[in-house]
Amino acid sequence: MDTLITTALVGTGQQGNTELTTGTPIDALLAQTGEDNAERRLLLAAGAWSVYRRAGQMPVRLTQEDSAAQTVQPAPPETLAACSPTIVSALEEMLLGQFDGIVIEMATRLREAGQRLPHALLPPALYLGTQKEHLRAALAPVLGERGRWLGQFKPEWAWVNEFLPGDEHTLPENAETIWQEGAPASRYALLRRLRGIDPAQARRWLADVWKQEKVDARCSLLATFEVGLSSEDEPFLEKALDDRSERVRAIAGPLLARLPESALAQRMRARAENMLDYTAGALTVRLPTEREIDQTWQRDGVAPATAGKVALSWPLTQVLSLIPPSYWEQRFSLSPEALIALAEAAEDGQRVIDSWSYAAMLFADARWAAALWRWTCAHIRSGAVSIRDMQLADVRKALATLIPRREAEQCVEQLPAGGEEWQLALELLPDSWSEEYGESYLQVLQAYLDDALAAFQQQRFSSWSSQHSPMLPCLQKATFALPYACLAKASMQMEPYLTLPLEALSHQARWYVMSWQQELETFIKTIRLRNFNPNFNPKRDGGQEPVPAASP
Amino acid sequence: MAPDSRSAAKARQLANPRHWQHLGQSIDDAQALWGECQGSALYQVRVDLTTLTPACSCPSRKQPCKHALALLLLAVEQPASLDRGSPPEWVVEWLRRRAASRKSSSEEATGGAKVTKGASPATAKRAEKRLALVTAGMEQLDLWLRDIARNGLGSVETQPAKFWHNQAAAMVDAQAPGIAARVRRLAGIPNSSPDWPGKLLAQLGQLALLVEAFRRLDTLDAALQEDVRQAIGWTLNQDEIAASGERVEDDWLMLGQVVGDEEQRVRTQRTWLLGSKTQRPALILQFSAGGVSFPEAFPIGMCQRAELIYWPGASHMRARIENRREVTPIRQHFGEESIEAFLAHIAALLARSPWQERFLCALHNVIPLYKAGQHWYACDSRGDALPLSPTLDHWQLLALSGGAPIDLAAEWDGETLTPIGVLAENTYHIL
Repeated sequence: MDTLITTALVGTGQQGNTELTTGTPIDALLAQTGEDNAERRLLLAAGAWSVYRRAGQMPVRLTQEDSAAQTVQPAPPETLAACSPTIVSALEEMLLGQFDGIVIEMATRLREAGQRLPHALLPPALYLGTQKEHLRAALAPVLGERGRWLGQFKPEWAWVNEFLPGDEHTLPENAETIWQEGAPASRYALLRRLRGIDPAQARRWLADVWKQEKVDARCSLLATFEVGLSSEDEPFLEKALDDRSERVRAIAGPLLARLPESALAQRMRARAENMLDYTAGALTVRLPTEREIDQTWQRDGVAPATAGKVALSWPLTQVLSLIPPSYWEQRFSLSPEALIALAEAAEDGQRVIDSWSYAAMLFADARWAAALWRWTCAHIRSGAVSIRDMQLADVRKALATLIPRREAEQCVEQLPAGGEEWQLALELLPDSWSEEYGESYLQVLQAYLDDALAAFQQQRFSSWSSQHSPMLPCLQKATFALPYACLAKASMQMEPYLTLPLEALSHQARWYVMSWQQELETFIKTIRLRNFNPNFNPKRDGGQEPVPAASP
Repeated sequence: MAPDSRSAAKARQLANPRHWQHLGQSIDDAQALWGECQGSALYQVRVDLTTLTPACSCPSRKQPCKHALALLLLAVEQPASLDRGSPPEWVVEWLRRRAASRKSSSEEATGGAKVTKGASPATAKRAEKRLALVTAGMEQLDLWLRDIARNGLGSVETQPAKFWHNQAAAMVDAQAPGIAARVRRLAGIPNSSPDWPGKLLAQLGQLALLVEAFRRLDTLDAALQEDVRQAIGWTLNQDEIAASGERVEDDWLMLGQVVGDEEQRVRTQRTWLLGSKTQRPALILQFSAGGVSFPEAFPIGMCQRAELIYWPGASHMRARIENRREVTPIRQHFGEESIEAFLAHIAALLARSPWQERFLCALHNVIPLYKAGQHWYACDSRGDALPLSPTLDHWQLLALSGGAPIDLAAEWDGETLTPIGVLAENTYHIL
């Protein structure tokens, strides 16, 4: 055959040799044609050869080496039930969509129903988990045996087999391997798990590799010490205060502060001693002097490493946020509420309250969290303050998670519904609401829409618009925070607003309503996706075979 | 099925029983869905499930409209919301009208065939004129091919696309559109891969074979004559097919679809079918120009009782579907027992009809393999394997098989398989 191609490449014009042989039965065939034109002979030979070759196509015989690939064990049988075929297309939409919250919720609900993803959806689920590490913990349990089996074929999918068993008190069989070779997120999860089972062993594991780990790994792995933290960890943490990375030191500090007997906790108390004073019914805040601040402050992460002109309020915040708030209660014999009220009146008192907020979170003090949350709701305003690398808003969010859900929600309910303060406070609530609060939110939303529409119809447009932003209040948050029990009601309640008659409205009002309708459309669409039922069984709940579905 | 993503999104919103009343699905053979949807008005929506033909009283010009799509979605996702029973009068009436029009059109078709037989003088004259044009065109093609052969493939390596397109245009003028399409595709071969000279030579050779076959058309048997004429670009009208095509009644497995790249603004859709009793493969071709959806929709991944009419010719592949009836899920196993048997069938088919380029490949009990992190194969129980398309990944196929044997449906282009569907654990999945 090669001669045929060579001849063709140069062309019969230059070759001189027109004797074409392929060494196949084609030669005989060609002789039969009696064709004497050299070009045509070449072309016909090529045509016949191409058919001959296609017709004689042989299967690939896999070699020894290949059959090793063949001996990959088939996937073990599934232990979980597949979800109902009727929800597959909804699940696919969630996996391919853009809302991570919905994926986590869907996976969690499947897991709770004792189900797994259908095999056909495993590749998109694996791709998604590979791309977004924070979804892995939710996805891993619903991948089933087949998903774990697939994980072996692609290095990026190895995380699938690094996931921990559901029981919090056991380690996976391949724990050592995961620890030595696993992906960062898997190692973190493993070490965290081990901290809960055997903190000393976890500390030894980390100590063994500490020197060769990169900064990111040191930070995340050290953070696992918050689980099972005890005074036995102090020597290791104290040594971490000498780490060359500021970020590592900033993690070690708060951990040590949580050990009341630790040297760092004592150093902090000594530093804080003079910062607050309560005399004659007033709280005085005293900023530290530059003379007071020495090298040891820097080492403990409460003074800037580079000396220079930094406001002395910074070390104050840093130190106070590492003192348990209950310390002040005992020292001044005052309740959290009283102390907060006093701080509010004091100069620099706002910083003290912010520091206490951080401390309440760090020491998980529910009483202080409740007092500070109430205060926050009553005094909320926008503005970004950061304490210890955290936005104040995140600290306040953390406070709300420390108190009973309804209690936190009721504080928000007391604010003027739909107003700016209400919106700000609502954004701080935990991302999963109670049913009562979900309903109350929907009422507020509906009232907000009705008020606005009434204003539009009475041509009271200008007064209305000056007070409101065009975005519907907290709708994005509600999309994911509304509890499952409220979803059907939510989409039913909001749907009528999608088909409002717009003709009578002024141009500007129409623009408002239309942009709301867009928002509501996304809201309802997402709510509907969330509102799937993993326990729906077409056999049991009516219906026969699903009807033919052409892919829409 | 949706004409665009917006329709699909709207349909998803409407796919909720709250928007509907009198939802129903028939229990008899007619297989229809119906319901009344509250939109700007109350619309009557129905779908004939045997052909997936929708009808709706809404004024939308999109076909199918969002209401019909929503009705289909509802039927899939919430079958319990549809009452099972006899259709109301407005559905029955519509089904009756559809049946009547189908009948009359097929009657027309058979009646029309008679007219063709006794072709009018004008038609005969047109046909003669075309034959003359094509004959001249084929001679010109022969000359062009010989030029390339004389100067060598090396000489066309650097030719611009225009070189090929001009020749293709000449073939269009010669009323040989089949040849024109083949010539146009040649433009993409030079320098596309290390073995491009072999590929180009093979294609040129096939064209030369066509020229040769056309010259001796009278000496070929009737079926092969038909194939040559179709390859050159003579089309058959519906009447001719109805008159001389072979009719095969079967439960047809609608194994899958492949939509080709756009050529000259036309997309080609290939739907592959396999007769569950006759084991005969069939190909339904549909064309769509300018982004319009394909005229007919098929219940892909399902089995439908229907009659196929094969195009006359030696290849017995291209067909048209008629008399579509009940649709059931694909549950039974299908496909050749071994890769060797499949290739033997392909060889036999090529011997009859050497210009075929793509084939249905249905294989029973094969295992998809991913070798050395780069090559995909389908491997049968004897250890024979065929490569899967290297330009796609086949994770879904692997996920569905889990390393166990499955029944695979694919399109075979002579070198690699493009999977279109798989039967795993008793369920058919479209790929």
